[in-house]
Amino acid sequence: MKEEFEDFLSEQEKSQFANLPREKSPPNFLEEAIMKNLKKENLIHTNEQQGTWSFFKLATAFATAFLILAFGIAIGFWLNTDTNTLAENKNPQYILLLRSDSSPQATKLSNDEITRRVKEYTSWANELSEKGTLISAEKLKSKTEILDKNAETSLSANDDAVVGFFVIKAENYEKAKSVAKDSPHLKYGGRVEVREIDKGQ
Amino acid sequence: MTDRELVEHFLETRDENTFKQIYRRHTSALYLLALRLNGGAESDAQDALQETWIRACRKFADFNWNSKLRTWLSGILINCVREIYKKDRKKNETELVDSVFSRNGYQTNKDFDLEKIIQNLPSGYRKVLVLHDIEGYTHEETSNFLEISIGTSKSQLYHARKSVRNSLSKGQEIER
Repeated sequence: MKEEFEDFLSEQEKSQFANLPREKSPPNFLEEAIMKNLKKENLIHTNEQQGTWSFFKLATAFATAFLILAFGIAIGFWLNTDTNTLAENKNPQYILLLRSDSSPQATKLSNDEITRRVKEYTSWANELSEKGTLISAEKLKSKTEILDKNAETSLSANDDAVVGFFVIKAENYEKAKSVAKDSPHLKYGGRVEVREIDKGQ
Repeated sequence: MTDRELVEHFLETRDENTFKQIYRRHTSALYLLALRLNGGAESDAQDALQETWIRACRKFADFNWNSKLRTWLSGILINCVREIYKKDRKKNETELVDSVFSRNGYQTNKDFDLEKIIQNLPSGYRKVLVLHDIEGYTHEETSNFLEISIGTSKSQLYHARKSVRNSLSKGQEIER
């Protein structure tokens, strides 16, 4: 007996379905957001947690402000529980480039001062995260070389090196600037460059 | 490494890098599946994907490998899409259309019309057609995923195909 809803695709129809795309990459921030949530739920082990102790040891050993900044950003990034980036991605995004003099003579600090500043950077990063402003933050290692077509120049003790960055959401450039103005980085003599990310819109 | 080796290693270590390998192997396919199932709502698809991986990480140890990992993950994803859809039922679906095809050069893809037609199908028709005709699941599997009877799965597919054929032929008439 013939079934009521018996129906077969023609070869052409099968081919049309088979030729449809099989994959679509989600936006890059999604992987980051998922990793954060899995860490928060303690479902995966974080590499950053292990790195935290290394930063403490290094900070104590070398007492450099660069390491303070790196540590502060890393902790802020690790603790960032923002999932709003999934649904609220309409605001423009800005990158705050943190610049400072990373030479050893410019960054000698006592251990107490290091600890205090670490807390301050961490607290600032957490605040941005809780407001749903922070999308991501990364430290940069100190080695930097600028290449041109003829030669390469090493800038190991640059007095205006980019030492880290924050990617944030803000309604407009002025709002992004006001976020940057609150950065502890400015308070300690660093500079923050504010640039809108061009999404081509 | 096979999926099984990766998952077993992940269960022993809970290592982030191992997880990323699993994630990157399956996420693009899962994401497109979520978009097709929900009619192209990107933020809902992203939420579903996020919830899928959280649930998968909790349940990897219970997976018995009687099916492919992709099938198991798809099952979790379909549940998540359904749950989000129920929450958002009041949303007007037509407002959600377009986002999936506004990027990635879909406009120039020769299958754009078919994709668009599928996207605009009623939710029930669309889900069955996506799972059966695009993903290649049987009616039994489709009905299990969607928690409907096999008969419903067949009738929804029948009407979905009929609707797709009608729309395609209308499109061809317009082209002439």
